[in-house]
Amino acid sequence: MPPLDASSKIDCGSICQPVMYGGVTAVAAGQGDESGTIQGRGCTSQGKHEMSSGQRRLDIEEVGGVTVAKFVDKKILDETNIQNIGNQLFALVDEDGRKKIVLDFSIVEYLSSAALGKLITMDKKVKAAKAKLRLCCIRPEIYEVFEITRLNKIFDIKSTQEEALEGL
Amino acid sequence: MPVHEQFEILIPSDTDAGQAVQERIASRLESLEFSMRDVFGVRLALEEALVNAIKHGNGLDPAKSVRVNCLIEDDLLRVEIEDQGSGFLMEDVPDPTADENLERPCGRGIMLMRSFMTKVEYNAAGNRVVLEKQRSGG
Repeated sequence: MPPLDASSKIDCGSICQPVMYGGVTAVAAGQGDESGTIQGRGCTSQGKHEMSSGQRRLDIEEVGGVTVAKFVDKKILDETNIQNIGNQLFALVDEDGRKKIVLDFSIVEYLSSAALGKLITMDKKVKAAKAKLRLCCIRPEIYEVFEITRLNKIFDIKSTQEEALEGL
Repeated sequence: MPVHEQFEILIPSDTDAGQAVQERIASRLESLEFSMRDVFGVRLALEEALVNAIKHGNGLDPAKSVRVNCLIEDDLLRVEIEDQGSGFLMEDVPDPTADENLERPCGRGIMLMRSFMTKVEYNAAGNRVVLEKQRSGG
């Protein structure tokens, strides 16, 4: 399925500061818990922000009986954001009992494997609830991430929101 | 080959600190007019490598830090990331694209790094990775 918007730009954001400095900066060590477990690469069940309630990271609207959830973040990288996004996604199924959901990625410029993990968990919840999920408006760079990981085989991905809504 | 930037820093086991390093490197590549796709791939690979080091390597332990060594030349980025964890064995990481693993919500970070970078090399202990990105032609 071809992705949308090949001309999309990636915005570095205004916080980029190409400051030059050399040498080693020592970091003060805190009072760490030496018993902290080392997690295996890839599967982590705990994060420092796990319990944060967080602000809304999805814009939700109802379109003809379908819930359209639009991401509000350009970069889905930050641990807190990913946790909040996951919680809000899961609530659509677990708490609200929504049966037809479209996730609109039009604003998303970056996402990490941790974000993919939330999408996969969401997909499982949707299937368990016998609901339907479609993804749409994914930029070419992000779509490539889905292709590399073969997740384009799991998810029903449409180019436009209109296509995603059609026949859901 | 002129060196545009070279630094080595220790960052705490905190993903915000990892993001700051990532932004610094990505913005430098942008200022050197690396392509949008190059910068996208580097940012993604750095995110994965730094999160691996901070969360999985150091276990978010505030007593541990992550060493980041960065070199940017005209056409090459080289970043070495080392954590203070016990490392891992590459053969223990399952192929996330295998049919039986497709629905596992984890284990895609290293694969994304390899896909978007020119070279990804772990040391034998598995607590240090070297990422290289050659500037795309065109």
